[in-house]
Amino acid sequence: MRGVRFATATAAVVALLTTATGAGAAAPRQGGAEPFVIGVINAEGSPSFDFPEYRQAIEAAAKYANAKLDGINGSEIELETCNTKGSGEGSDACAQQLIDAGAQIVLAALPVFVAHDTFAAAGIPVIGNVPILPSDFTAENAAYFGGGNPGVMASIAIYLKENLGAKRVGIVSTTNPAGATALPLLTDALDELGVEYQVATGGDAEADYTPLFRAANDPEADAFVSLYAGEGCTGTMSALDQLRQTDPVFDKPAVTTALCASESVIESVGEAARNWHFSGGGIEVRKPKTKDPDAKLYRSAMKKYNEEGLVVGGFSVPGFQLLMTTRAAAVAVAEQEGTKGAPSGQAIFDSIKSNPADIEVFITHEKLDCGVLPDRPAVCVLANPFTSYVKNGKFKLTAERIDPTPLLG
Amino acid sequence: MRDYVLYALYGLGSGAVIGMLGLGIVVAHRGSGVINFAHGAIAMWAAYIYSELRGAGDYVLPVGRLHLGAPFGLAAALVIGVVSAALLGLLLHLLVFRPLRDAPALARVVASVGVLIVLQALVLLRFEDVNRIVPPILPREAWTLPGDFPVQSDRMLFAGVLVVVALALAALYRGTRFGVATRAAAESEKGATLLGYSADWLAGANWVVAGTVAGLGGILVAPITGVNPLNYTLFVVPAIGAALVGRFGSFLVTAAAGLGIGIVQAEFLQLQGDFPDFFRDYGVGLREAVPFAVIAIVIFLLGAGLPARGALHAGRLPFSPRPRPNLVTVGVPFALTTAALLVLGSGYRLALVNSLIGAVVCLSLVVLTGWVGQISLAQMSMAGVAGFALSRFTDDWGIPFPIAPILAAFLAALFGVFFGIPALRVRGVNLAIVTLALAVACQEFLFKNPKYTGALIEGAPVPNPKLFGIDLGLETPGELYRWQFGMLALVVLTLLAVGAANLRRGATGRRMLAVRSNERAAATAGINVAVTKLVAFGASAFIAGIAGALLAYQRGNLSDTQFGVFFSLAYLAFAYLGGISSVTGALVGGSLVGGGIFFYVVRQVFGGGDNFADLELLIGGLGLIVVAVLNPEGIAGAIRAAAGARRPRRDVPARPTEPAAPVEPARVVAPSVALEAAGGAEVSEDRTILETDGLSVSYGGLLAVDEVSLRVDAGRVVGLIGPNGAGKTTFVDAVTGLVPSRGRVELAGTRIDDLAPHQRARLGIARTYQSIELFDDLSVRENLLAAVERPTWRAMAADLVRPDRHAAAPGVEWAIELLDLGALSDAYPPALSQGQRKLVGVARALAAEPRVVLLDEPAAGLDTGESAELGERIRHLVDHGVSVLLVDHDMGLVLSVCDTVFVLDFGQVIAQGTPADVRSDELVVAAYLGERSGTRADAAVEP
Repeated sequence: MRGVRFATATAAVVALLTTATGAGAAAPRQGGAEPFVIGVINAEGSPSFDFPEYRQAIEAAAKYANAKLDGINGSEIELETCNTKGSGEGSDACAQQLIDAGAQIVLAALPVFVAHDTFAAAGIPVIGNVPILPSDFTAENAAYFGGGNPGVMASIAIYLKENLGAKRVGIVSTTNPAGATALPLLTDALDELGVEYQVATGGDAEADYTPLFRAANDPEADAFVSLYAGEGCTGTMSALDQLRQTDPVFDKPAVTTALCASESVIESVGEAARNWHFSGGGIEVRKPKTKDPDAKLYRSAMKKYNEEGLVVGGFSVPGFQLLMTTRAAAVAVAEQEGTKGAPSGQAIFDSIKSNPADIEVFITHEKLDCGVLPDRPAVCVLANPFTSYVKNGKFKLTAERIDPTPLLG
Repeated sequence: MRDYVLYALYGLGSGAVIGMLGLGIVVAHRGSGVINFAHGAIAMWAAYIYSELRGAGDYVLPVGRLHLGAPFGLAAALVIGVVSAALLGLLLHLLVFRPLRDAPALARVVASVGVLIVLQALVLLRFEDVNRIVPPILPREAWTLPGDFPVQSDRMLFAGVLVVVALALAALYRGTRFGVATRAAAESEKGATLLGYSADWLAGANWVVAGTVAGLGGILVAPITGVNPLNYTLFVVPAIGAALVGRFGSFLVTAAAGLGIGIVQAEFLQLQGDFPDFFRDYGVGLREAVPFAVIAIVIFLLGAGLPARGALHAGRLPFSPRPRPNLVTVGVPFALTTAALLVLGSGYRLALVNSLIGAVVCLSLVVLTGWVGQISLAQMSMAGVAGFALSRFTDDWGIPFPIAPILAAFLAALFGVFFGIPALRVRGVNLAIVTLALAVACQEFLFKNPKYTGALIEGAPVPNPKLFGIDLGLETPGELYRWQFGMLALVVLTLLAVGAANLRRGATGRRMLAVRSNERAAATAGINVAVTKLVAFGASAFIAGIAGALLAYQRGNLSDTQFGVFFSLAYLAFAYLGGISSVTGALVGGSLVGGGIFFYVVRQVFGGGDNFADLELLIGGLGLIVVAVLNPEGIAGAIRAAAGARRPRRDVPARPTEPAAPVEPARVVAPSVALEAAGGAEVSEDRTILETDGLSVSYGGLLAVDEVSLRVDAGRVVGLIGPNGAGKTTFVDAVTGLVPSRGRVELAGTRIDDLAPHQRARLGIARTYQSIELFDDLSVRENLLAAVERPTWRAMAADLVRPDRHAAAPGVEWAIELLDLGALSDAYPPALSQGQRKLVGVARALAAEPRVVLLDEPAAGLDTGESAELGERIRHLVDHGVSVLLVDHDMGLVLSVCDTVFVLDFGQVIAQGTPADVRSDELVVAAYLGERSGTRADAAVEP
C-alpha cells in the first residue's frame, strides 16, 4: 500500500514538474505543412456568460475545412480551445494555455475579456467578431470583423430613422458597463440624425422590466431600443411581450443587438420575439433553399460537423464566419507567397489588416477595411445587416446593409 | 402627480418579488437565527424544478433526473416545486445549519454562501437552458384601475398574493402554538427549552416553512422575472433590506417594505425622465442603491434595537493563535515562493500571483473579522476604491510608484473607517448586512460612474509600476507573467503579513482580541471599543486597498465587475476556509482563490479542462460548507492540529512556574494624575472615593435603581447587598457607565456620569462581573495587560515592528502575585476552573491599579474556605490603597469584611450602616425573608 502511494505521489510530482517547467512562452512557428494551431477563446458556463454555440460553430468550420478544403493550404487546422468563463482571470489563464499550446493565431469568439497584451507579447494576433471592451478596439495585434458598440449603435440609429421611420425612440438601458458604454454612442447618433428619445435606465437585473418600457414610452415612442444583453435579453423581450398582450400602445417594433438573437434566447422567449429587430444578419443561412454559396456551405457543414446539428440563429453564424474568413485570408497569403502549408499567424493578420486580396467576410460578404475608424484601429467591418423575427423561429432580412461610417467617420 | 401614482403602481410587481423573498428570510431568521443569503437560490431551484416539470415532464435531481412522462399541469408542478423547496429547507437545516447552531454568526454566513454557490453550480450543471421564460401563472390582462390607471393584472394579483401570504404567516406565528413557541425561542432558546420545546425541532420546522415560502415565491415570481441563475441571488439584497425594516419579525411590515422598495425604485424611473441631465451625470446607480439607503437608515435608526436572538449558546470565533514570525516561519516560505516564481513556467507564475494577491485580501479579513470579530462583506469594495484611485493617481496625475498605491490604500482606509461607523451601533449579522448594502452602494454609485472612475470607453487604465527605471509590471512587450511582478506581490504580502502578525502580538492585538471576546468587559477595562473597531476597519481597508492596487497593476484596466459584491462574499469564504483568525490562514485562503495555485495545480495533475471547470464551482461550494461545519478554524487550524503544533498553553501548565518575586505596587499614580488633570483633588484617607447621589436606572417603565445615594470612602470596604433582583448589578453597571442613568456619580470629587465606560475605567474605577466575562482569546497575563495598556498612535505604529518591547506593568505583576496566579499566567480562561476564572477577573480589575474596585459576586461558586481567603485578600486591597465596593450574596463574607453595608431592595436603599446595624435591621430581615416584622428590634439577620 505504501509502495502504491509512493508511486502515485511520485507520478504526480513528475507530472507537476513536467507541466510546470516544461511550459514556457512558445514562439510562433513558421507556416508549413505541419498542423496550423488556432487558439479559440470563449466564455461558457457562468451565470452571465454562456455562449457554447459560438465555439461549436468554429469547431464545425474547422472540421469542414480539414475534410473538404485541405485545411489551410495543406496544413491541417488544429483547434486549441479555452473557456474564459467571462472573467479577467480566466482570460489570463486561457492566454497562457494557448501560448503553451503553440497557437499561431487566436480567434476570440465571445470571451468578454481578451488578454491582448499577453498575446501581443507572445506575437500572437487576435481575430474576433465582437469588440466589447475598450482594449478590443485599440489593441494593435487585434482585428475584429464587426464594429462593436460604436458601429452597432450608429447602425441602429440609422435603421430606426430610415427603415422604421421612427421620430421618437424609447431606450431601455442598463447601468452595467456594456449598456453604459453603448448608451451615449446611441444617443449621440440619434442626436446627429435628429431623432428624439427617452431613456429609462435599469440595473444589471430587474425584478420586473415592464416599468422600464413604460418609462421609455413616456412620451409615446415610435420604436424601442433595448441595450440589455445576457439574461436581460429574455427579461426585456418577455416584458415587452407582456405589455403588448395587455396594451396595444406597446405593440411597436423593438431593436436590439445580435446578442439577443441567439438560439438559446429565441428558444426561451419563443413568440415574444415577434417584431423584435436585430442588428446582424445571417438571414440567408435560415433559408433551406438559399442561393448564397456561403450560406449553402454553412448549412451543409453545420448539419454534418456541428455537434448540435444545423443551428441558424445567434452566435453560430459568427463563429463559423470567423474561422472561414480567417482561413480565406490565410489561403490568400499562401497563394500570394506560393508556398505550401499555412502561412504564419502574423502574415495572416497582416493580410487581414491591409487586405490586398479584397477578402470578404464569410456570409455577409462585407469587405475587410481595417482602420476605417482611425481611433479604433482594430475594427475592420462596420456595416451591419438587420433582421427581424417573424414567427415560428423564422426571421426576415429587413435591411441588407446599414453603413454607419458617415456618422462615425 | 398622476404620473407618480402610476409609477407607484408599476413598482408593485417588483416590490412583490422583493417582499416575497423577504418573507422567507424572516421565517428562516425567526426559526433559527440564520440570515440565509442562499434564500434566493432556494427560490431559484424551485423555479427550475417547476419549469422543467411544465416543459419536459422531468423531475431534476442533483444527480440524475426522473422522466415522469408528459409535461405537468400548473397545479401539480407548483405543488411539487414547493414541496421540493420545503424539503430542501429541511435538508439544509439537518446537514448545514443545525450543526452550526453553536457556531458564531460568521460560520453561518459562510455556510449560507456555500449553499448559494452549490445551488448555482447545480443549476448550471443540471439544466440545459439556464435562461428561461415561464408562462404566466396568475391571469395576465390589462386592467384599468379607478383614476384611469392602466396596469397588468398579474402584477396586481401577485401583490395581493404577497399580502395574503404575509397575513397567513402572521396568523401562523401569532395564533398557533407552533408560532408562539417559535417566537419564544427567538427571544430565549433557553427559556423555550425549559418550557419543553425543542429548539432544534422548532428550527427544522421553520426551515420547512421558509423553504415553502421560498418555493412558492420563486415559482410565482418566475413569470415576471424570468428564470436564470443570477436574478434570484441578486434580489436577496433588497429582500434583506425589507426584512430588516420588518425587524426580522413582522411579516406585514416586511411585505410592505418590499412593496415600498419596488415603488420607490419605479418612482426613480419617473424622476429619470423629469431630470435626465442630473441622472446622467450624478445619478448613476442611484435607483439601484435604494435598498442600501433603506438598510442604512434602518440600521442607524434602530441600531442596538435590532433583534438579536437569545441563543442557547453564543458562538465564539475560532481561536486566534499567537503568531511567531521569525527567520524560519517567514524566510522559508519566502524563499520557496521566490524559487517557484523564478523556476516554474508562466502559467504557474500567474497562478501564484493570483494567490499572493488573494492572500492579501484574506489577510485584511483576518485583521477585521478574525481578530476584532467584525463581519464585513465589503472588502472588495475597499480594493476597488484603491484600484480606481490608483488609476486616477497614476494615469491622470502622474504620481509615481510606490507613492501612488500607498496613497490609494490610505484612501481605501478612509472609506474603511466610514464603513466601520455602523459597527458602533450594530454587530454580528446585522453589521454584515449593512456592509453588504454599503458594498452595493459603492459598486452602483462609484464604480459604475465614469465621472469617478474614468471614461468608460477608455476604461480605467493603470500603467505598470516602475521603480528606479525597473519595470515591475506583470507584462511588458515581449514578456509574459513576469517574475518581477510576482516578487513585488510577494514582498508586499510578506511585509503586510509580518506587520499584521506583529500587530496581533502587541498591545494593539490584545485590545482587538479583547473587543472580539467581550465588548462590555473591554470597555470597563479601559479599552475604547469604538476606536479599536474603527482602527481595525481602517487597517483592514488599507490592506484590502493594497490588494486592490496590486489587482489594478495586474489587470492594467479596471471595471466595476471586478469588485462586485459577490466577490466580497467569495473572499470571505476563502478566508474562512483557510482560517479566519490567523495569518497562516490568510495564506492558505489565498492559495484557494479562483485562478490561484491550488486549482491550477489540481487541473495540471488531473488534466481538468472544461469538465473540471464546470465542477469547480460545485466543489468550492461544498468545500466551504464542509469546512464551516466541521472545522471552524479552517484548513490552517486543521494543519496546526494535525502537526501537533505547540499552541500557546490553553491548558493549565503541568509544571508550575516559579512564582515571581512579590512586587509592591507603585503608588496609584496614573489614575490620580488623570483625576487631577480632570480637576479632581488629591485624595486623602478621609475623603470619599466614590459617591452616587440620586442614581436611577429605568428600563422602559421599570425603575431598576431608584435614587440610590451611596458612598465609598478611601481605604474602606463597602458592601452592597440585597435579595435577587434588587438592582445591585444594575447599580454597578450604572456606576461603570454600561447603562444609561440619571443622577450624579463622582470619583474623588470629580463628576464622571457623563463619561464613557472606558473613560471612567481610566480614571480609576474597575469592576468584576457576576458572569466573570474574561477575554477568552487572551491568556491570563494578556487579560491583565489589556486592562493596563493605554494606546497611542505611536505605540500602535511601534507594535508593527516591535510588538514585544517591554513596557512596565507593575500592576499586572502585583495583581498576579496578590491572587497567586503565577502558575496560571500563561493559561487561557476556557481551561481554568470557575474559581480560578473568578480570581482572574478580580486580578484584571486590580491590574490597572484603580482607586476603587467594584466586585460583583466575587465569591459566587467559592467554598467556605475559598470565600474566607477571598475576604482576606479584599482587606489586603485596602492596605494597598484600593477602596472596594463589594456586592455579594455571601452574608458571612460581606458582614465580616465590610466596614459599611448598604442594603438594596426593589432598587432602593432600605438600610445602611455597620454590619451589626444591618444585621439587626428589620427591613433587611423582611426583604430577605419576604415578610415585614413589627419593630426593628424584633428582627435579626443570621450571620
